[in-house]
Amino acid sequence: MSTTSTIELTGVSKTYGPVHALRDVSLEVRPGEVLGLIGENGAGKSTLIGVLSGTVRPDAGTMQVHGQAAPLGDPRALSSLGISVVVQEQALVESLRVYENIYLGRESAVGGRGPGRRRRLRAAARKLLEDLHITGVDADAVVVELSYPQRQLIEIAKAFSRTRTGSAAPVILLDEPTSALSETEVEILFSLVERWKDRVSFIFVSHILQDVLKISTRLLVLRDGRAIETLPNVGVSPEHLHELMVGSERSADYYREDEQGGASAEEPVVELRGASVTGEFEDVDLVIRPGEIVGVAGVIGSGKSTLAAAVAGAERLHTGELLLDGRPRTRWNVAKAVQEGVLYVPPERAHDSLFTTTSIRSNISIGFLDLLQTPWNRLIRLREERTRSTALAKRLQIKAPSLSTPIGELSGGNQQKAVFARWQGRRCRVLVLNDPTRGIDVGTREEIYGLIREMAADGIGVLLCAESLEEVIGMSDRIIVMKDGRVTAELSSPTAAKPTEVDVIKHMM
Amino acid sequence: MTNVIAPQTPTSPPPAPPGGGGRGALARLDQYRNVLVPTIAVIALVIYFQSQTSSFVSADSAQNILRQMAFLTVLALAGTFVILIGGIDLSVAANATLAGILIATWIDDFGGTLAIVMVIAVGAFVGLVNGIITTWLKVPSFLVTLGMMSILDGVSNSISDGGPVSYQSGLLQTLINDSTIPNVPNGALIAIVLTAIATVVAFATPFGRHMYAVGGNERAAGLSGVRVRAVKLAVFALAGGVAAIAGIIFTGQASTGVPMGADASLLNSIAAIVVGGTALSGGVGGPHRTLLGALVIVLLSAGMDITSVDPYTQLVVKGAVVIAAVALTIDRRRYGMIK
Repeated sequence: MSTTSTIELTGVSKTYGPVHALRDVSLEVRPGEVLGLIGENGAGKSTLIGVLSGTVRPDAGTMQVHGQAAPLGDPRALSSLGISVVVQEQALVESLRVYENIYLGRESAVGGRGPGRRRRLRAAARKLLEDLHITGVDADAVVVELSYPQRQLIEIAKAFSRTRTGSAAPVILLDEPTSALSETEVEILFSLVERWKDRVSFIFVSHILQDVLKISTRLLVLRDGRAIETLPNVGVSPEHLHELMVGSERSADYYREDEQGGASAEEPVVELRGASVTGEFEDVDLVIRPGEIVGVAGVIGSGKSTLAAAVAGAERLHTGELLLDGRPRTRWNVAKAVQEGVLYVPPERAHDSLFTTTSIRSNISIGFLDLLQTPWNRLIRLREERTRSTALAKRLQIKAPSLSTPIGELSGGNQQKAVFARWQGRRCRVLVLNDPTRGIDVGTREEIYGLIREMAADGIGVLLCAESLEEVIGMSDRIIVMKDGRVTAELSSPTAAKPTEVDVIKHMM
Repeated sequence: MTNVIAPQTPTSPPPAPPGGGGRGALARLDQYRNVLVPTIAVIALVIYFQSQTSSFVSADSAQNILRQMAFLTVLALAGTFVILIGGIDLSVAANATLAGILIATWIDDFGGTLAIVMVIAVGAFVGLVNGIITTWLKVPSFLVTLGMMSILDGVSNSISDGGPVSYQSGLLQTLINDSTIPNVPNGALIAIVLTAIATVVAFATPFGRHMYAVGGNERAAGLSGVRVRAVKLAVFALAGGVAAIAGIIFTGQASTGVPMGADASLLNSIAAIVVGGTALSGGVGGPHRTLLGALVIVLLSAGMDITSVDPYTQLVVKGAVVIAAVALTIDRRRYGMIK
């Protein structure tokens, strides 16, 4: 093992407006290492990956690759230095063949000029796949016909092919590679990493702790944009990592578990019976009572997100029924749901909730315009609109220069607070939250948890579907676990006897 | 809990906006530039043409300008709604032509009021068809209305047999060309009142706000409880109805139903909308701005007519002005998507 590190980052900082995505982060990867990067959502993992791959230009800091200064914020230059990324959203062209994808953009560099290039590329790809012990994938196959894990392997092969000509060990960044893989597929991926790791440095990013612990040789914990600790992966317990990620033992205070009140009435507000959405979930029974927080856990693709959307009217049920106050509701849609006080906070803020070029004020008042109308001419009382949105913005502590500022200029946390403010302006009976704290800083997250608790205490039923298991466990009174579109377990989660993550995960996988 | 979130460094002040300390008066003016640019353009045009020919600011030319503005403003208003929701209606002018032919054909047979109501209803129906095809069959509004334009041209030419349609009734003369307020033709009054109503609808009714929401982010609008399809249908129908009013004004001014009469004004109406500062990407702008935009376009052509600029040069100048106005008006930092 050589002594010079493959990559060395020093003092990297990056801010987005008021949000510090990274503060003075340094890291080092040596040949033969698998560096596990862990941290909660919003801890700065993706920004750090962005810096390493060149898609994010940091405000401060330096980077060295093989002991030489590397240009920051230049993805092309970094990739030619041997840094490649394998991301969750794959970057393969589906309509092209495997060998075409591997050498995309470098056809003449690899295959030479003139006739027969196609044949030479194909041969090179075959050899590459063979070298990497990737079996079962033909270099001639069209990518669209491959399964997800096979594509992942092709991505990795592509990453390898970039640096085979150079002598130095390449670095492959694996960004959440396992979250969409089955257990056996994860095994295959890990065995490949094991096999290659003396030739390549890996940086492995995942929010699935077990996976990180399994494959990494060293761990770097990020919290709130800071590198909290690096430690060799020897005898580290998940509990200890949690502690490092959150800043203390998974704290009951963080989720205000002492304020957890449970259902304030037995009669459900919203109920699903035998509900299905084809291809998403099947035969789901679900009850939400007033004042109760019902968590939904499951991996991506388990149907949990669509389930939340269906309760909120954003997705139509194909079979089964939705009952409100015990009465079946047909043709349930968002507009009706809003009238009835079933309010939805969707997952992709920029896509699903925000009018980015419009003022914060309009983004808030869109939730309750009908309540601002005068009875006699149905016009909106503009002054009332101002005072109400201002009051809501103040109550939720939205930080902005003024409410006329376009919402797109705010940080994610403040944007999400505005989305909550939108629904605070009207009667709410059930709040449907679909990953409400995605990409939000720790402080704001805590405020949102407090808000959810307050709403539940007021007798509002909450459906909380989230990627973070910890959040689901910490917040919920009851947890529905989903796997492949079916409910596999229903666990109660009272303040005093919270299930562990393992209790929940075993029903997810 | 503070131990979890307490920053280890004192909170740093928010970073200065790029470009240094520009939060002064200029920056504040910058916010309003999409209204300021056309306003300044109007003033500059008046001053310039007045300096070229002393007769530019006169009762006569003012009347002429108001007359032209009346038709163009109403036609552009029709288009504004559709552009606000992120679509485009290329059939407004052809719809206006049809309305102009129909009013001339029907006004003597059915009597003034009924004929006007019928014509507006036909216009709204045409708009509704556009809307239904766009929202239910998901055909882009550009293509639907492009096709509709051709269909309407065919229909109005077969109704009029390709020739002008004359009528006897004096109602349109009274409604459009006479002046209730001295020197202001009623047509211009109608245009101004319609703009005012449209502006109130846009800013102070849920329907108006929902238009902006749909134009700004259709998906988010739907997920916040806006009935997106209903809003779109209503907007297309409204555009059709308003286009019909523009057609009635056109026929009133020409005193005959003219085949293909209003069609030539399609590009001018879109220019008026865009010069006013309504973004083609939707969600930004408004009817009040269209009035300003129409004024710029009309002043420009009237002024060039008076100073006898030759018609081919006029086209070149008009095109250049539209491009320049849009370049100055749009705040590109805020709109990532330039189509």
